Parts: sequence; structure tokens; C-alpha cells
Amino acid sequence: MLFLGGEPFTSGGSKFLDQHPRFVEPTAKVFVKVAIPVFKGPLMAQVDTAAAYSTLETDVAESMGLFSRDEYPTLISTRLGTIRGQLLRLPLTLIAEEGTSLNVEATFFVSRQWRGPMFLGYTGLLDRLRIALDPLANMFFFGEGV
Amino acid sequence: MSRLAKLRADPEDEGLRVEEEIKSLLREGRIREAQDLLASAGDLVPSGSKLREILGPPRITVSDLKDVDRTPEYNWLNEHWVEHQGKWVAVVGDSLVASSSSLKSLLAQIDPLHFDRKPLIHHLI
Repeated sequence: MLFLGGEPFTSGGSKFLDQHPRFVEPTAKVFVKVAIPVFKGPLMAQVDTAAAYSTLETDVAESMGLFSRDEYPTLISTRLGTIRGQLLRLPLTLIAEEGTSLNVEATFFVSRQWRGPMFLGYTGLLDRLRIALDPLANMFFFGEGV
Repeated sequence: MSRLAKLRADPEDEGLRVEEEIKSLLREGRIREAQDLLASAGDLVPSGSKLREILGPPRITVSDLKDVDRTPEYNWLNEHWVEHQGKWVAVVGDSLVASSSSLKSLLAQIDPLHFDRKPLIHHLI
């Protein structure tokens, strides 16, 4: 647990992956572990404060049977162009190795056209958490925002 | 006249009209405007509405779930990604336990298996 001004700031922490093999480029990426109920083990999601919305990887959405739903269609603009999809409310867990894990039920953008990884985006997810990075120890700390 | 003021001027099914207007904004990708309209709609959109849930903040609760230090799995991913590029992989410690071009197939492979620690599942695109 981290403290700020004597008060608890975060409640849990886990090691992150910052040299993700999918990206042969010099910019750093921070991937953290998440648990999604239907999967037998944790998956990696990229923490992206520049992403307007959280996005589910297409194969993951397919495995969860999410493409049979079409409740709130929308568009998002990506660096590869505009893609169509839908907004869905989904549960996941930010898994802690130290301290307390958090269940987070949040809105995700889901699209068959999406070719990227799972993003934990700013709006509607990270903007309600307290997060901190210790790059020297590769630790990602998180807690519920007040 | 604002978008909401126009909607309020119509006495019929104001709530439904507001919801349809918000959905229309979503279909156009104008998510922030949809959120703003919802925020200004007040009681026209009921508190239990699915729309409020979709456009609302996340719900956060404490979980008992715990995981172990995955440094061995991260090291494996960094060392072996070239030979498994494009595959979904399941890694336990410093060992690959399953690999497939589809997540569905990977999950079928690991489903009957038992592990001391849960496999880390990842896609090496």
C-alpha cells in the first residue's frame, strides 16, 4: 500500500511488463495483469492514459460471446482510422501480488475490426482509480479513487 | 435552443426521446456529447437505465483474488516471442504449456490441465 500525505493512496500492486514483445519500438508500454471471469489465467492489458476508452482484444471478445450483442453501437477514431463497434459493460479484476485486488466493472469498446491489444483507457476506468508506477521495480500500484 | 431544451418542449415521451438522442450521438461516435446530454437530462433518464450504466463511471469493489510474481513468465515472453509470433500462448513460470493460432483452441488445450499456478495467457501478435 502506498501513502500520500499520511493517507492511503493505493491498496494493491503487481509487477508490470514494459518491454512487450509485440512492439518493436522505443516507446515504453506498460502491461498489467487482469483477470476476466471466463479465463483460466490472467491476461495482459495495456495501461493507456491516452486511450479515450477501454478496448477489449477481438479474440477475447469472441471467446466471451460478446459479438452476439449489439446494444450500443458506436464509432471510435484510431490512428488506423475510424472503426465500428459497440459499448459493453464488463467485469475484470486488477490482480494484486501485494495488497488488495480490485474488481472493476467498466465500459469497454468491442469491435471485430480492432487489431490491437486490450487497453485500459482513461475515460471510464483509469479516471476513477489512483495509479502509480515504480519503474525501477516494475511495480504498478492501484487503488480506488475517492 | 439547446438540444435538451428542444426535447423538453415536446410533451410526448420526453425520456424516450432523450434516450434515443443519446443513442444517436453514440452511433455517430460522439461519446462525450452523449455523456454531456445524459448528465443534463436529469430524471428524464431513470437512474436504473442501462444507458446510465454504459455511460457511467466504473463500479469498483475489493477482490480476494491474488496472483504470484510473474517475472518468470515475462522473461519467457521477452525471450521467445519471435518463435511464437502470431500465436496465443499460455505460460507457467519459465515454461510454455500451450500455444495456438486461436484463443479458442488455446483455451481448449489448457482446460483439462492442472497447474500449480494459473497460466498467463497472452497473444504475441
